[in-house]
Amino acid sequence: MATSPRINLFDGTGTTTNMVVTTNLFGFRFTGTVDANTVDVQVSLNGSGFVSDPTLAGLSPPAFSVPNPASFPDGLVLEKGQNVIQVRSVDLSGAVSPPSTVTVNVVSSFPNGTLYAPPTGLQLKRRGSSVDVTWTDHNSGAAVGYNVYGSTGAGGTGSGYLRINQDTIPSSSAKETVLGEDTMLEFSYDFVEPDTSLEFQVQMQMADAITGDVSDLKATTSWPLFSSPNFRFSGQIVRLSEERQFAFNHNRNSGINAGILNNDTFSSVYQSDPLFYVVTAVYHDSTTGSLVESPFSVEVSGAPLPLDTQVRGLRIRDQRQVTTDYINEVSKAVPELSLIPGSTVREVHIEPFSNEIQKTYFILDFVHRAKSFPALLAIDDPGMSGTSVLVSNSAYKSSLKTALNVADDVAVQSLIDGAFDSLAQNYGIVRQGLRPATVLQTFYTKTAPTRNLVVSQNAVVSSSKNTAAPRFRALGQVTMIAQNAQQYYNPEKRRYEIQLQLVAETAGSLGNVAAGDLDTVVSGATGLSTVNEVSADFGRDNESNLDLAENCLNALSSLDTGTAGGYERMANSTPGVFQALVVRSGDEFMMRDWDPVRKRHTGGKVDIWVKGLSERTVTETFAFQFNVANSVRFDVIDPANLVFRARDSRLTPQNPIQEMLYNPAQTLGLRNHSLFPTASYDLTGVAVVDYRTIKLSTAIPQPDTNLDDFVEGDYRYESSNRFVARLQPVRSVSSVVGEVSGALDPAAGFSLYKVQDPLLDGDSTIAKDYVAISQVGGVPAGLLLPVNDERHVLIGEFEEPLGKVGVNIFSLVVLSADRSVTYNGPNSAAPDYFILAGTQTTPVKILRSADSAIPTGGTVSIDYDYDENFTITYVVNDVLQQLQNKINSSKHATADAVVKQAFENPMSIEATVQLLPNAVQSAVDSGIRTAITVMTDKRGVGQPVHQTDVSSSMRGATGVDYIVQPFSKMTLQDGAVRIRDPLPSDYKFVPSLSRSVNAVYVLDQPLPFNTVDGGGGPTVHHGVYKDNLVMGQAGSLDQLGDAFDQAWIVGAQGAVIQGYSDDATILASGVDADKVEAQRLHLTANRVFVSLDYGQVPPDVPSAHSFSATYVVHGDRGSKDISVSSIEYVTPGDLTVTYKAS
Amino acid sequence: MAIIRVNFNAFEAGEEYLTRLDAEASRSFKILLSLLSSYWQSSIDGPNYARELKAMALSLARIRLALDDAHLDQSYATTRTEFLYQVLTSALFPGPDGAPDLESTDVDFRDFLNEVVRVYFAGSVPHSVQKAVELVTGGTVTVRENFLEARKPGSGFDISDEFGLSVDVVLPFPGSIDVFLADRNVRILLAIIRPAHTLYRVKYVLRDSYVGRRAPSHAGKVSDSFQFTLSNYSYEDFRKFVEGVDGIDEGGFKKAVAVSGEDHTMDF
Repeated sequence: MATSPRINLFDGTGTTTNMVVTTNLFGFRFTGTVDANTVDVQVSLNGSGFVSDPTLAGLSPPAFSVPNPASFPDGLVLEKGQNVIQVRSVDLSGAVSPPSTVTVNVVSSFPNGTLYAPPTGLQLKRRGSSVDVTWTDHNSGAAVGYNVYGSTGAGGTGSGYLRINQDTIPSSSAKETVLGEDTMLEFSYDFVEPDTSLEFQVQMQMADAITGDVSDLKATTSWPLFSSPNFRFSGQIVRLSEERQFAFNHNRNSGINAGILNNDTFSSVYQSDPLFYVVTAVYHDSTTGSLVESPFSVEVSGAPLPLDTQVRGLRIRDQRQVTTDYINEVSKAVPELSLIPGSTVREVHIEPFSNEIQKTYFILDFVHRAKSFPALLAIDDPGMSGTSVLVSNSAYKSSLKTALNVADDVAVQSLIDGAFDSLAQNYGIVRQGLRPATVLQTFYTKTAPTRNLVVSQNAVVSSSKNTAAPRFRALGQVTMIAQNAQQYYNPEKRRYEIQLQLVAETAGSLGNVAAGDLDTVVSGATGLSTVNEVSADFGRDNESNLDLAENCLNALSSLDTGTAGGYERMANSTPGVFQALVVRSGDEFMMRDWDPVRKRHTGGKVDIWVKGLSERTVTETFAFQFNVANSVRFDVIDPANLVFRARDSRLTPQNPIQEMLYNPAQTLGLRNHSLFPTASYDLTGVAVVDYRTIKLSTAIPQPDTNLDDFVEGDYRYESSNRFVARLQPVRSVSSVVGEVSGALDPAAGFSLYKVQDPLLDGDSTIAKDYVAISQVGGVPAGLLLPVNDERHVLIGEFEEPLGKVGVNIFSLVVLSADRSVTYNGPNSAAPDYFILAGTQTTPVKILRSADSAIPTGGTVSIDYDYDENFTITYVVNDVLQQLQNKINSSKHATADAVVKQAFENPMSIEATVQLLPNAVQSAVDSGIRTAITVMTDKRGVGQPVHQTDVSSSMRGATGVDYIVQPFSKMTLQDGAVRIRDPLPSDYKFVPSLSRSVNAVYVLDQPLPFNTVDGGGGPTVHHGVYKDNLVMGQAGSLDQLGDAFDQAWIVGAQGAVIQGYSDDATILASGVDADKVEAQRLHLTANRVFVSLDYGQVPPDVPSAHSFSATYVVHGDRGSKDISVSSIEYVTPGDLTVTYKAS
Repeated sequence: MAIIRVNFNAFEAGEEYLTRLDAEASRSFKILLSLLSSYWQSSIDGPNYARELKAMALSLARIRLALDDAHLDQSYATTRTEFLYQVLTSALFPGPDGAPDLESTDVDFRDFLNEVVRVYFAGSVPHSVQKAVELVTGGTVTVRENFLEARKPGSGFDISDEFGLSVDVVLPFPGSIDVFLADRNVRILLAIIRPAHTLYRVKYVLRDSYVGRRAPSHAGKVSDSFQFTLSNYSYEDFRKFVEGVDGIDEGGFKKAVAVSGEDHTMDF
């Protein structure tokens, strides 16, 4: 037999089959459970007979609901008075259960209505597509549940308040419980002279407020009194109450399946328009059977709010809206009053007032926007172009102008600029002022130079075409060496040219001169003509509102100078820095913290890559560095002619013996230990035959010498032919001039080496770029130069530097001023002075001894020999030095932060342009070059340049009809450096190059740009990296198999490799004879070959590693998009345009 | 009677707004009436001139309320959430990654932003890192500086770890937050506040309890037939989504293991 339906009690305590309820709910619903085998629940309303109606009873065994909320979302609407609802179940076999009964007495109100308080503490929280209505049970702690209602209009207008939650939200479903505190009483008592022998006792009693009768003793606490007088005892009584917080999420698009009612009404309301919500509490008294719903709570309103980046303004009521409101208000009382357009009231009273109100709204909105940079930018520079839109082109600005009643556009823009300034000052930032333009200027001659042509520091050029353009001045110096003229020849332009960065003498945007305008040498470049192939750029009148805003918006997140934002902000505030990129420890392009042993980053390092240039010429004086070698074994080569050769691996043709040391008193010289006693040779007239061989004079008596004698000697040798510049990194070397040798040949006499990996110390302020000097035609000769009678005053024990660097301290003699007394040197028993060693660039110093015979303040005469001093003039980027100094003073302790020069890679473009009728080719050319310069300058470090970027820039120039696509050429210029181009590890084994266990493989994918064999010359860094670590560079492709972990890059010319790319192998693979060369290039050109250890277990193969290559671009062709690594940026470089007239 | 404000948004609508508008308009209306000469005697808004003054008062009251509300935006703590991005978010997260997506409500997000301000002002100190991560993940967050850990015997750290720090996020209920979203948000925050020369590692310590095999809800009715029971172990190995489980790839699948030279002669 079927079982009667079990009706859920409203307080959730159980079920019943006979429920009596008195309620003020007109929309009534109850739920319950039936047996699992129930197939139907029948309902009888007020004795009308049982019916099977799925709209009246929703069944989802074992649960049921009357009525079905899908059909009656607001419940059964019952008559006032008694209503009897009966339900019974029908099971699978057709058996019918006895009925269960719900008797509902509907009343309009309850006595003591104040006991049934609505919820309080309402809040509406907004989500992206829904809202959360929250409340507390502060005033409704006795409620058993809550209902949420919504309306499309305020105060229940529109749709009226419609219930949203299908099931009453039980009071047990609180999201959070918080402890509320209400201070009931505060008191204090002052003790001026306490009796410290007593205890201070506090009793808490509950007493009748009127009679004073104590009804309860709550607490007694005592403390010993403080020993010092004058203290106060304070206390407070706080009522703690537990408050439960509820939350109900309403997505207006959710339906009955999600337990949400009336979505047909609410889903039609526009998502950004608000709905108006109220909440009621439902109270139930099981003893009386009353089920009471409280009045509505206060109303909260809101709509979903996506937390996006949309900039919003205040709602501006325009004149029309204000007028309408005005008319509606007046018409409420006087509907017959004529308020049509043209009526007196309308024209005299309403419209002027409405107009003023609209203006006020505009001003209010602007004031509100003035608190936010994004909101200000939205009206000032919505395109984020760096240029404020003109007032005449902006509806908002024009309206603001009208609202403010100002006469001109300048005043409006000034007001907006002022708003930016004012807001920026809240961040402690002021707008930066004028900035001079810079330009890469070309100096050229059409005839081969017959003498060195110098563009000197402070050389000046000007424009003959643009009278407003300022003059530009060189900060560095560059020389076109006549001997090496071909190096400067530009076959495209048919001229000899050099380039140098110039800076506008007058700061400001006037300096942004178009390409081709700077055409006149004013001074400092005699014999050279000049032109700017690219436009001058970066000149600025004032920092733009966009830049100022971005600077300020970064301020909060860069408060700590040791964060990435902090470094970046510091860099961007440094004059000359156009952009900075901070590479943190652990980042992809941070290799200074890479531990090759542990194969992981270890931290502690920060690289700041800078785009920006301010060339500075630096001059230093140096001498070659020498070391002293003592007691080095000499082989007897020719005993008759007394020829000896030193056994010293440190000696090389570049590091030869400079001088044999000969001072018997200091036991220096050449000694023959095979004789007894040891005999010393007389080194008078000794000659250095080659870098390690000497020949003694046979004209003077010398010890007997045999071929197998054991001979030792002392000498000075040149330890290095290199000069490491004090300021790094070195951009170029202008000259090296010797005291005797004169100016060294820049082609063969010296070379600048920048061979450090940029991801390590290369191109940074801690780089070790050096200049290597080569002897050409016996110059420099390497002779010692004498100094006689150099006067110095020795005071106390101050260190006195000599006049030259590279002093041979063995030759140093200090005499009295009248040269009558020779003072004792450091090796004597009672020295009068000491010698402090110098360096390559700092001179030796003399220091009086404490017991010196040299009187303090006395003048001495000093003789010595020194090596030829050279003066080197080189160019550095001063921006890096300045930024490094700033960072050193503000970085975190232990942080190794280094400033680096971001890689500048010039493009090479060849294009054909169809001109419009009447276009002037020279003007179009200037416009195109300017447009491309501006485009590349705006690209930051690490940003690629696509072919479409270039063509769209060109199309923007006046006079251009169309650009022929694709370009004849768009790639990187020769000399550009690609930093760590990644290479897939797919490979082929090359047996003919492999040796023993050193297996040679070629990586399948070619480098994206053409290069030369080896990947670059000896003066620039290049290399192949395996798992981030540089591989050894083989001497040639054939030597690659001599050892493992070596690499070799085959250039664009390809290579003949037996068994792989030789003619026979290629022909054997079916390639036609006329295509052999092409196939060889296809197999080998721009390929990376590596040798790996095949002997290890398992054998090492390329697929077990990741590879990348740094190389110099050479001879690349074709047209391609130019991607760059995170530390490179692209500049215009060579641009060759062929113009076709229409 | 004072009007208790519960709506702090830019909608100029709602019962509360209308009540405030009415109160403000009445105040203005009285002032406007008081400005009239004695010739204008009406103390009610019946006559034409009074209706016009009331209309003006309403317009002025709307502006006044708009001004009052605009005043809210001056303080980060009360900025209306419609204007959160332009007033606060844009200044706290100016980078290309934008702000963390907490999937929270507007008010909670504003509270989060205010906490971030405090973190920024505290500087790049360990407590800031801990606080920042807690803002995103909740739970218990421990920041360990490796150089301190290295002082403990057997820590496994050495001098090469001195610039590292480890952030341990203990999640007692792994399903309570989206670990992947939280991780993205944590990294956005750490990218801003960690010192640039430091390295960090975030670990999510997922705690879940194994409740044992549960009894089937219904006993089998036929004892001598094949039956099976699907029971919920309440256990999900969340570790499979996190680096560190040997032999399991990012998708939670077992990695293939290459086997060579396996001897099967005994199989035949």
